[in-house]
Amino acid sequence: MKVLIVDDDPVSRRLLQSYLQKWGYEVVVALDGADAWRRFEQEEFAIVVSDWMMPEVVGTELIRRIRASGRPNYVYTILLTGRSQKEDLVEGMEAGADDFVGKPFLAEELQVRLRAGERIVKLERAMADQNRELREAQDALQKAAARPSG
Amino acid sequence: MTPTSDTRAGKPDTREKALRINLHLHRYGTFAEIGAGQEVVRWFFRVGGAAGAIAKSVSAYDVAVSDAIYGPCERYVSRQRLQSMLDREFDGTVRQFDEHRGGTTAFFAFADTVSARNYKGTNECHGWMGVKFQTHPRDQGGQVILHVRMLDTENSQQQEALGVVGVNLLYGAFFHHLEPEHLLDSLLDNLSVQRIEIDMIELSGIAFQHVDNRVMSLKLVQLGLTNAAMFAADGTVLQPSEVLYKKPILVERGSFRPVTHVHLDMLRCAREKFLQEPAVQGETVVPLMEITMSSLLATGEQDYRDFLARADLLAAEGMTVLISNYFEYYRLAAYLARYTKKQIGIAMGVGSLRELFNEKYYTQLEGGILESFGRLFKNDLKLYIYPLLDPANGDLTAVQNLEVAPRLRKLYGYLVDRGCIEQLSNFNEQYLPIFTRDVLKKINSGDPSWEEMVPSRVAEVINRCGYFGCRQSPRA
Repeated sequence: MKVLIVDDDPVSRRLLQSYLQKWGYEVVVALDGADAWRRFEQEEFAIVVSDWMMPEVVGTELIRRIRASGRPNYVYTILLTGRSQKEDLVEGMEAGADDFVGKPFLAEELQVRLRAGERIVKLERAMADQNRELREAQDALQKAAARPSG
Repeated sequence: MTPTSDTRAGKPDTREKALRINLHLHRYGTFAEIGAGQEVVRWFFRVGGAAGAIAKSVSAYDVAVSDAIYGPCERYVSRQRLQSMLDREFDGTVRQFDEHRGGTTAFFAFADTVSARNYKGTNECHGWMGVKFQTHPRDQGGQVILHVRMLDTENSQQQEALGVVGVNLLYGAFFHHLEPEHLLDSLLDNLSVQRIEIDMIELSGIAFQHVDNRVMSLKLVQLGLTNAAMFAADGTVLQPSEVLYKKPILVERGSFRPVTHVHLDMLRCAREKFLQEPAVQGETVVPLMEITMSSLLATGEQDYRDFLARADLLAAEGMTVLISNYFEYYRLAAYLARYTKKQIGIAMGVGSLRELFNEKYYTQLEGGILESFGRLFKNDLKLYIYPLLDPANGDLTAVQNLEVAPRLRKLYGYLVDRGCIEQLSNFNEQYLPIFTRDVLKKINSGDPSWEEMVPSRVAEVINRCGYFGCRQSPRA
């Protein structure tokens, strides 16, 4: 599963990359919010893990752009937040974030939250597939019914 | 009993010491004291026989009088003022008496300049004290100067304690100069560390030509006369306020056995970040390398050669060294805050940060770890954390992923979020795999690759001096 991680702090970036690769994710690293948006426009990602406080494009703005992008597949987003930003969780959720991980983070906590995101993405993809199949079946039935009998 | 030995019953009391000096046939000199009365010379007048030892006693109480005798100065309670007093009084005594009794008399000059507790109790209670003396008639002799902090709460008690230290200093200089350790040990005879702290001592001159003042600084801490002592890269003993007064301070703790690229990179990284602090911008930061006594005692018996080796290597990199008895960081912070209200930064590895969150170190505090952090982080103190690389699996541990006890996680998160703990990100990646223990192993096994793990100047000194079992020595 392809994950975009974005953090303007090089140590955080390195740690996130290291953990996610160890857990089997395909990882793309962005240096800041603007870089993340550029990469998002060029590639498909299932999950985005983003720091909140970054220069220029902050985490919430990045998520707003992702939600407004009109991509066919759902992108699960996790915001990394410092303690004081917990008060602003409403703002994060309104921007479209699916989950939050506090900084400093526990690797185990990040892993289970990613798994939860992965489950939702897979479920969403499966539902989309089923919906497509249903639509196709319905179309086929409608076509068959419309065919003149006899 | 000879005048140089202590009594059979133990150490002589202050009265006995003063009397022995007075009755010594070959000692003669001058006392000059500024501030806090004439507490030292009073002992010699009180015990009797003072005419045999004292040529003159001066109390330059008014600054105008002080300036007229010793010349102008910026600070009256300072090492510079003490030195000018010692030089003038010693030279004057020798000049005046040398002709008719110089062949049989060892002259001396004692001086102190002290600020005892003022009426409102608002001043720093401290002083400088010294003796310049001939060990034998017409030799060049030696000099001992020291800095004291008076801890009594009453002015009269401070004066009394000061008088006792002065007598101890004279007695030690005259009768224990061949055994500098004994001299040091005797400075607080008939006193306690609760009353007087001696945080700096410097022995100089022919009488002490074999004395390394860095070792004396170490002994001050070891003997409990102070909790911290400092010396400069050139080996000069420093009085902390001379260096730290009103300056932002950045300190790195380590065993430095030996100092490696990592130690210096940690300080560089922390310094770069520290200089960006709004309160530090434009200021001159004092960088310190701190070695705790517990680190020096880590291998059991104190090894002075090992200590000097570490000091020499830090000196090769131009570092000022602080030796302290402050194992707990909050005590170190309190000590530094004594001298400055400016910001203090502490650079440490993430392993030390993990230890900082170990509650076993705070059981003696009523408020436990919360109290320790309250004390540590006041005055905007900041910790700068260097990451740790696990060479076995390449895993990096940093502030962001450090695991502390579950019940402390919120506290840890709060301190990180508040900016009290900052991860260094400007480190040199190539230095992360360097560990002091590996450097030592390689030196011992004759593997020359250790030289790449330390700065070239450090490698040169280790090779030249054969430190830590280096077998390449002596190259020079």
